[in-house]
This record gives sequence, structure tokens and C-alpha cells, in this order.
Amino acid sequence: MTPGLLGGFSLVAALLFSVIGLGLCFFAYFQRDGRYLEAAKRTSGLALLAALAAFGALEWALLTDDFSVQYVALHHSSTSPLWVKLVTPWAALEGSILLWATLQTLYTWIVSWRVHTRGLPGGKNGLDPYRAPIALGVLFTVQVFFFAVMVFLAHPFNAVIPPPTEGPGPNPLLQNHWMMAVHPVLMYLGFVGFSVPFAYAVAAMITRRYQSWVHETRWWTMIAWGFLTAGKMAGAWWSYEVLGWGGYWAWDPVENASFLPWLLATAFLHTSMVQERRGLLRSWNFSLVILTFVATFFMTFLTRSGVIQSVHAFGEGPVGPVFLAFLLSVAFVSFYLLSRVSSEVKDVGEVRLLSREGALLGGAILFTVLTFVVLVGTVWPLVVEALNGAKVSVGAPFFNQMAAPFGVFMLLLMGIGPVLPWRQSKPQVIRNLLILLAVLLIGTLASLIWGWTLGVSLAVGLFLYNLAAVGLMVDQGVRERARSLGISAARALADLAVTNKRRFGSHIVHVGVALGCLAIAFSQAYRVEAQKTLYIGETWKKVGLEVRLLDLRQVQEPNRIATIAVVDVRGTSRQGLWAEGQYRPRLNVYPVMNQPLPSPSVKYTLGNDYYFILQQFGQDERGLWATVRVIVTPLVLWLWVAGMIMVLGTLYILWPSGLRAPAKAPGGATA
Amino acid sequence: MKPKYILGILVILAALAYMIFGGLGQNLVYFITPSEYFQQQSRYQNRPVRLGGIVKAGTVRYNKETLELRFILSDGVSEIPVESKGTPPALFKEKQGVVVEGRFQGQSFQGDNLLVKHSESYQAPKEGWTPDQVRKLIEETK
Repeated sequence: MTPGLLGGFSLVAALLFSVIGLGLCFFAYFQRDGRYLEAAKRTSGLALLAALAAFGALEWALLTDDFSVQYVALHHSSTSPLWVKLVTPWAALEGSILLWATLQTLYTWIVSWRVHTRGLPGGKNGLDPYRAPIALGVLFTVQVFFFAVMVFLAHPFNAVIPPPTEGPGPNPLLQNHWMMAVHPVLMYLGFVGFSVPFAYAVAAMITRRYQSWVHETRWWTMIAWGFLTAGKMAGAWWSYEVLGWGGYWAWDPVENASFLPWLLATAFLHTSMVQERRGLLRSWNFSLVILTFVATFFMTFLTRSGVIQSVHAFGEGPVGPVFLAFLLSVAFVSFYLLSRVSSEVKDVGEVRLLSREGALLGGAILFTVLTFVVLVGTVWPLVVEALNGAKVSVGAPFFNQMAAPFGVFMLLLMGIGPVLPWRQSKPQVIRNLLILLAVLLIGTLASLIWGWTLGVSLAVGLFLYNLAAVGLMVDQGVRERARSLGISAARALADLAVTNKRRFGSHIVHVGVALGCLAIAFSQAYRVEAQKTLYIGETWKKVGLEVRLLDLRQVQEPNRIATIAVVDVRGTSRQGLWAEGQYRPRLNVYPVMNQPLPSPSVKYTLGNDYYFILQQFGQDERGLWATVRVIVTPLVLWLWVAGMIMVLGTLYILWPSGLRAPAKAPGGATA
Repeated sequence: MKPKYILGILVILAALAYMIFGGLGQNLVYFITPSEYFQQQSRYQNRPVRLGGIVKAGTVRYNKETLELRFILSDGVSEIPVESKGTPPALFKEKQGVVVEGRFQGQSFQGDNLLVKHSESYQAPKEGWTPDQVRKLIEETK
């Protein structure tokens, strides 16, 4: 047995099990026979085992340097460190699809636990035998697609004859930072997660039971959203640490494309609450979950088809068009199903503007519009090329210009939304709104007087406004509870935090978002940079720093040769506070690349980040010299903190607890 | 059709119009080769452009005091002198495919940002390539 043999065999097995599972779901649906469903459940486990075997085979081939497997021969090197070998499966196209497919089989298998094969659903959130064949069938269909793509188009275990003795290793950009090990996995965990609410939604449209799916899949939605948020943050951090430009978001087409499902999912997360609570916005929820799911495939189409230039692009191939065909058919079938029942999913109540559901709908509209703007900006080069044949790209200023007003509206809604009560406004709410408005105005004006730019001042005002909103809500909840039960405020706070985890968790996530926006505003507005060529021993004073080049040395590492500049830095003004220390920016030369890759040296502080890049080095009659670039950016650290807060807030909501408040019956529901 | 849908379509159209007139046009960055520039010089003056080509052998001059980099970018037929502010990202070699982001000023090109085309499959072009082949090469090596 060789890895190639095991892998190829397992892939075919996984494809077969997925096809069989899909067939069993068909029988279960049309014959109304629980035995078929039982068999489909078991098949999902077999498909998972086969997928795991295939994934294991790829790891086996990589760890044993089996260059007879084409994927290994093209993307692996025996000199790579162990962690690089372990993450190489998702360093290129075929392995990424295998990872994606494996995660899909895992999620399908988990969904199958919930399936009840006979009678009405027992237990909480069970999938009854009427909807289960459809939901499972949708997930099996996705699996069939992935495994068919691998078996017929992008086979990870194609053989090379004769096998080479050594390979080039994965793309050096991926080897340069450990963050690359987690970013793709988190993204795929998020992408795959949306297949579950989508599958439930399809089942809901076919069986005409429009209400319960949103509630049943809310954990899936939260989990997927949490992973996607964490994945995007990890990607931004990787960009900051590796690409050597001191930025974290470039509006690169693929960044944009993976932003789309996040935006749509965020909209869905919010409209789904309106349906759970009031039974409204049902067609919104169906549309948004379909679009979110379709958007996860759109990114793969963009990266794999070669239609758009990007740091993420893996090159051209047949895989892109196949993904496009799949996503278009999914969208077509889903919207056909929705249109079939559109008169039945129509809302029976109304949404008032100044109410919780009004704010949630407003937020959803905002996110959907931004999705549309980003989508148009991303595919615009294709439109221009089709019209007049010119190759163009849309610059980052366009996206920044579009996203800034959106951010302001989002932060405004985020603050007042949770303060507003459901259904209609109450008089005491007006007082709260006035307080919040005052905080916003005072915060913004004080920042302007302090001398910050208008955008930054607005961000400060909105941050304080959001903090005040959360403070007000927590304070009121605690007071009421403490008064009515006659307990201490601390006790009431602890009670509320445990019994109403969803609300508290959302407060945490919202504080994270507001903090993130603040960090973005400051880091975009007050970034300064300078560069200079220094000889060893030379000192340079700039941007509040005293920079001294101590040494320039070369280090041979197993997979690369590094040139390291040793730079000693001291702060000379407030801007250089906490900058003191030794920095070692480096240029890594990987033998497979024909030029070096910079690896910046960054010091994170609570105020400014100090970011050093070695640009160029050489030797002349005066000695060794190095061109050093320094970028000082305020508050970048807080963006990563904000990301962690958002993820922690999501975890807080998801954390199981025995003290969960009893689920409220959805008002006006006609399930 | 119901007024609700008409309203929705109008909102989408308005958003689209806002985007197109409010910045999409100005922020379009053309990707051209030197030959394409000479065909339509006036069109590309003083607007952001991404100029792609091969660094001509023996023309790279780096002044480490002023941090100015000068070289000649060629696509096999036409050549354009490029001045780039700031250092090249050290990763700069002759006969290599590069894309320079910047603007045309007079007869030379002022680069702000220099992207080197690198990939495992990259191969330096041989002599006697046509602009189309150079362009294809640069587009394919991402």
C-alpha cells in the first residue's frame, strides 16, 4: 500500500458513499421509509471515514516525502520544517479542496446525529423524517460535487512517473508565518458551516415549514460566523506580518470575495433573530442563507479560474468554471424553490422603523448593500474587459470611500438597535436615545478639539456611543432584576450573564466590532513611515525614533537563507514611547524563488506598532549597508484584540450551560 | 409588478449609479504594457496605471542615498524608463517580469509601488518575445 493508492481509493470510496447517501435520501423522501433514512445516516459516517483516510493519505505522502504523488512533487520539499509539511495539504488547489470536502463530510455526519428516523421529532431541535432526507440530501449533493471535482478534475493523488527526488516546497509566502497554518482551516470551517443552515432552509422550502429552521440552525450559523470572523482576522494578521507593507487589508479580489459571505452571514444572523422572535422577515432569511452559501463558492471560482489577479490566485484550470456552474445551479434551484412558495412565506406582521426589528432589518439592508458594492467593485474589471478589452483593476481608494460611510451607519445602528424594544418604542427609550446621542456628539466634538481628523473623531464618538449603549442596557437589566428579586447588583449581573448568554454575548461581540472600527480609523489616519540607507554603526533620527544599525548577518536555515539586520531603537518623543528594543527584520531567500522575501520585525504596543523592514543590503568601500524602512502605526494591536473579543463573544453565546433560559415561543408564528 | 419591487430595483440602480459616478471610474487602474502605452499615450497620462514588462538587462540603477531606483521596462518592442520612489522590495532582478504601479509623467514613468511577479513556475523570457507573449507571461505568473 502506498499513500497514492490509499488516497485514490479513499476518494473514490468517499464519492461512492456520497452518491449512495444521496440515493438513499431520495428513497427515504419518496418512499417515506425510515429504514432508508437510517441507512443514509450510516452512509454519512462511512463517507467521513473515507474522506479522513484520503486526507490522512495526503499527510502520509507529505511526511514520508513520497514524491511519486504529483501534489507532493509540486508543493513539497523534504527540507521543510515539520509544521510546514503538516499544513502543506492546504497550500495548493487539490489539497484545499480535499480539506474542504473532508470538513463537509464531518459536518454532514454531525447533522445526521439529529435525524430521527421514525415518528415525530423527539428531543430538542431534532430533524423529523419529513425534512431530514432533504437536508441530508442537500449536504450529500455538496459532497458529491467536491469528491467528483477531485476524482475527475483536480486529483490530489495523480502519480508522477518517474518520481523526482526533491520538490520545490510550498509557496514561500505560506512558509513565512505560522498563521498560514490556521487561516485557511478557519476559513473552510466557516464556509462549510453555512451549508447546514442552507440545507435546513431548502428542506423548509420543500416541506413548507418555514418557521423552525432558523431556530434549529442558529448554533450552526453562530459557529460558522465565528470561524469566518476568526479566519478573516488570522488572514489580516498574516498579511500584516508577512507581506511587509505594514497593512492588513488591501481590498484584494480574493479578500473581497471571502468578505462577501461574511457580510451576508452577518445580515442573516441579525434577520434570523427577527424571525425567531416575531416570525417576520422569512423571505429575507431564505434569500440571505442561499446567498451566503452561494458566496462561499464564489470565492473559489474567483481564485481558481484565473479571471482575476490576486495574491491568492493559484492559477488557471478547469476547476473555476465548474465551481461557477455549481454555484449558479445552486442559486437557480434555490431561488426557484423560494419563488414557488413566495406567497406563503410573506410576512403577516409589520416592521416598525423605530423598534428592535426595524434596526435589525436596517442593519441587514446595510450589510446587503455593502455586499453588493464590494461585489460590483470586485467583478468590475471583468465587465470592463468584456466591454472594451482593457485590463483594469479597481483601486483600494474606491472601496475605502464606499466602506467608510457604511461603517458609520453600521456603528450607529449597532448602538441603538439593542436599546430599542421589540415591536414598538416606549417613552423611556427616548431618554436613552438622547443620552446616547449626547455621548456621540460630545465624544466627536472633544476629539475634534483635541485635534484628531474628522473621520477619527467620528470613530471615537461612535466607539463611546456604543460603549454607553452596552453600559445602559446592562445597567438597566441589573437594576430591574436586583430590585424585583431583592438581590445585590453583583448577583443580578452574574445571574443575567448566565441566563441571557445570547444577549450578553452579543454585547461582547458588538464592543469588539466598535473597538475594531476605532483601531481601523486610527491606523488608517495616523500611519507614518520613513526609510533610509544606514551603514553599520550609523544612527538615524526620524518619526520619533533613534535607529541604529548594529549588525548585518547571514544565517543558513534548512529551507532558506536569511539576511538579518540587527537594529537598535530608542524613542526620542511621545511617538517613540515603548519603541525601545532590538529589531531583527530579515530577508529570507528560498531556493525555489528567484528573489528574497522580506520578513518584518514588529513590536506591538498598546499605543503604536513599530514595524521594521529590511529593504535592501549590500557592501561598498564604506562597509556593509542596509536600507531600512520603518512604519509607525497607532492602535493596530487593538484590531487583533477586537477580533479576539468578537470570537470570545461568539464562544460565550455558544458555550453550553444548564441554566439556559427556556426558549420563547416565536410570536405570530405559523410553523 | 408591485411598487415594493420597483422601489427595490430603483434603490439598487441608484446605488450602482452612485458607485459608478462616485469613484469607480476614477479608481480604475489600467494594466498596460509599454507598447500599449505608445498606442494611446494621451489616454494614460496622469492617471494611475499598472505598467507590466520585463526589466531590461544592464539598466538597473539603485541610488541607496536617495533611495531612487531607475530601470528600463521593456516588452520586447517598446521601452519605457521607470523611476521608482523608495527602494525596490530588495527582490529585484534583471530580466524579470515586474508590474509597476504609478503614473506617466512626461516621457518617464513614476512608480509608487513595485510588484515582482514570482511563482514556482516562473521562467525568465527568452530573447525575441512579442509584447503579447510578455503580457501573457506576466498575467499568468501571479
